[in-house]
Amino acid sequence: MNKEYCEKVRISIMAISDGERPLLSELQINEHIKSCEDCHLEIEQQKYASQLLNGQKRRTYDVDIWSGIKPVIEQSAIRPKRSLQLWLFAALGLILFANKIIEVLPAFTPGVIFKLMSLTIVFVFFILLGQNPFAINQNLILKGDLK
Amino acid sequence: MNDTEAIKKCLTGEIENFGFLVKKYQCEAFGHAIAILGNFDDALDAVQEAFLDAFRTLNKFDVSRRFYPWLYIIIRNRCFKMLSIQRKAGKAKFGKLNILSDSAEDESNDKVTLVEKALLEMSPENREILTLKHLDGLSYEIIAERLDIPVGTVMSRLYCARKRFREKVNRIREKDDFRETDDE
Repeated sequence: MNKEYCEKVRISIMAISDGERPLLSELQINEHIKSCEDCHLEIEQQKYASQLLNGQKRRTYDVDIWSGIKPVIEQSAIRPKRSLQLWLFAALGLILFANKIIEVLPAFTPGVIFKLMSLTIVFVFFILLGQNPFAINQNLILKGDLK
Repeated sequence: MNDTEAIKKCLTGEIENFGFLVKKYQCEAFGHAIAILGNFDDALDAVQEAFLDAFRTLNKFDVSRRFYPWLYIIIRNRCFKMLSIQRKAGKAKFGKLNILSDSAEDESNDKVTLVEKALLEMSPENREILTLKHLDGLSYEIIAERLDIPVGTVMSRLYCARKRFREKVNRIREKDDFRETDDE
């Protein structure tokens, strides 16, 4: 008997007992079982496994996940989102680039105020972000130290 | 309040509404995680991380769909990632599996112990599909949706899992019989 067909029959029987649509028709299954002793035996064993499993219920655990993750969620809600930060940096880059282009125009002679404008923009930007660009991150680890 | 309302409010910045979703699904999520990981502490970590992942990616969630199937995919990804790290480090730890509810009758409790022992000896993938089918009573179609696989694959995986389960049960029974005769 073809082993693959036997497996199809067994899967179909399992599907029928689970109330699902089988791979083969009932006629095909019955015809096969009549002539295949192995499949007949297998069906009996399948029934036994299903009986053992079917009566079981999942244990309910009383866990409190919310109190564990609440502070992290609140913290992340206060911090501006990463995508927003990226947009802000992109906008800053664009402003500085435009400033530099205007500065190098041959017909334009910028004054001291204009020259200081880019520095002022960066300064205001970091104040708005609440970041100190000169702060040293002590949590950084050198690649070699990872070993 | 329903899930969709809570998600929409979360997306407008009212994050306390995420608490409603966590409290609603935390027990179910934990039950699923422990069925895959077989360990209380790991399951707790995985579920916490999964809820945080869900919160971070909530803007990608399609509100026309149900929340829990989406969350389940995140949970199982977390669980299998955790298992893969543990396997690589040779630290896969399976404690005493407590995923089944005790029965009032002693005879049925023996059955529960036997099933739990057999489930614990199985691979997490097989254990997952068996528990989804037999403990949650999900249809093949819903299991396919949860595991992101075709229905045909669900059938063959479930068939193999049941076969393995039977083998494990027989082996445990043989062992127990051997011990009993040895004691006599």
